[in-house]
Amino acid sequence: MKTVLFLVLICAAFSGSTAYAQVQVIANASVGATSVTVDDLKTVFVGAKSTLSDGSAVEPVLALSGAAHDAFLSQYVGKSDQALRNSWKTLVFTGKASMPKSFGTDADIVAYVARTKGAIGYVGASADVGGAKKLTVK
Amino acid sequence: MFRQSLIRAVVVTTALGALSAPAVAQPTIKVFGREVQIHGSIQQGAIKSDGNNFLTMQSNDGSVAMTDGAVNVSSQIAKKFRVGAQVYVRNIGQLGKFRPQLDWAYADYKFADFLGIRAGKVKTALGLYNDTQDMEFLYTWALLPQAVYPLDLRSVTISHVGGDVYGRFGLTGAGAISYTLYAGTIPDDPKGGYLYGIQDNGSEFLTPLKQKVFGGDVRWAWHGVTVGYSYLRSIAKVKVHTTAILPIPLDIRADVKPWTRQAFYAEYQGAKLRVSAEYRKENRFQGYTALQPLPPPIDAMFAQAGAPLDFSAAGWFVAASYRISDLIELGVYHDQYVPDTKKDAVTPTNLIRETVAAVRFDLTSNWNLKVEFHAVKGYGDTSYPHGFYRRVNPTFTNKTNMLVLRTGFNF
Repeated sequence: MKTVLFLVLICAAFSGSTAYAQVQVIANASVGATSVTVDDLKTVFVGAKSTLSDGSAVEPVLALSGAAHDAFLSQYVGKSDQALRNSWKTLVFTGKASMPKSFGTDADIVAYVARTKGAIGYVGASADVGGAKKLTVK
Repeated sequence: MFRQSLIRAVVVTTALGALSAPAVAQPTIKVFGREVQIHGSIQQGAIKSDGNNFLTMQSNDGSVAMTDGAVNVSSQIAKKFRVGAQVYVRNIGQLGKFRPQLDWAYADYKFADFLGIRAGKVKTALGLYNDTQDMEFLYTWALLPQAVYPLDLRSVTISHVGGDVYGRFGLTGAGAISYTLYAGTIPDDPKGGYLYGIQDNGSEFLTPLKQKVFGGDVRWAWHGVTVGYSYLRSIAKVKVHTTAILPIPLDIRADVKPWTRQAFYAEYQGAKLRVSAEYRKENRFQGYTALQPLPPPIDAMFAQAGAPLDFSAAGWFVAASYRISDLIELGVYHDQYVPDTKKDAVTPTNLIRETVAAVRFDLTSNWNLKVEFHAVKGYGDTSYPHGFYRRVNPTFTNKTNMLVLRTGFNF
């Protein structure tokens, strides 16, 4: 019984770290921060604020769908895809924000983040982040 | 007739809904090198009721006179500066009559997350949903709780021409507080329910009902929980031709000073569950002045019949919805409106109470269909209507049941 419990805990521990490993947070080189908090990610990606805690102005970039998108939403944002889109529609239809750029592939996200000042996004763990810089999530 | 109209409406919105799949792509154009986003929504509804006709429709016969939509354009001119505008159109019963309204149009400069300013025509922050009440795609419901968000009286608080100061403060480990302060004027709506209620009461506005307003909203949000309070205070002067005070025609000036609304609200939004509640209180102190000399004994009669009035009304709702799959969301709410809180809320003229059950189908990420049942008791003060109008109800009954269908898509 103890062995089974041990195996379950090991599996749970590994499944957790696997989930975290599914996504990389990236930013344009102009973003001063090298790390970002979960709270920052959540508030920036629902449009509640437009700066990180260190004062860096950022522009969130979304994936249209995919495993990295699902992992990012469940780990850091705590909203479903529909709830996230609704948060942005609330802002867009009251004039408070523009809809963030959304891309269908990791490569497109990396390319946009790398060339756009202040851009911050997320891609799969195995994606080549190219000219974008990777941020550590604290 | 209703069936044919309903089929026509469903065919049109289905076609629009089918078009919504490619509309997921972000519609943008370039103007002078700047990216301009274009977004919009359109909704079509149908109501079949028994008892009383609702929202100036002939709903007892079945009505599809329930169309509204909006188109907006906006551009982020600089990191901290953006501009935009939205046009809104509706035809709900006799409300709106497809007259385009400038819904909002403003410039917004955000100094920092804790301080920004907006100037122009701005949606008014009042309670949970005042500024977002037209965005049916955000909600489970075909109709928001009418005790607090009456479709017919939308324009009385929907937006103001003036300015906002707004911001957000993060509280380390304890969520964030957002605030909005505003001042300006609330324009009149010549196709709105407030005006129709006055007309049904034997009166005509000789000048537009324009409110000077100031107010604010503060809300705390933490882990899906939002708790807040809003206050709106306005004054209005309007000239009215009326036979409602005395049985002779009179031209009078009505001074509403002050007219206050307060909202206390809370909401929890989880991954699948959403629970919300709001209490709204309205006070209106209203005095009358005759615009022509009144001979005795008319002057004495006017002094008595036209004595200042101190109105106090209240409304509240509790609502819960649960998403059982990507396709289906279920919800219920209960709401109550009392036109005169100084009297007991027991007669149908001083109470509108409804219980509502709804199911929402998300056919695509941009297209939904809602089916909703309303069981309503009472019809409220028909001198100041709240959904139930004399113009479509020669007599009133205590109970009204309604089936509401609504579909909408947005891009």
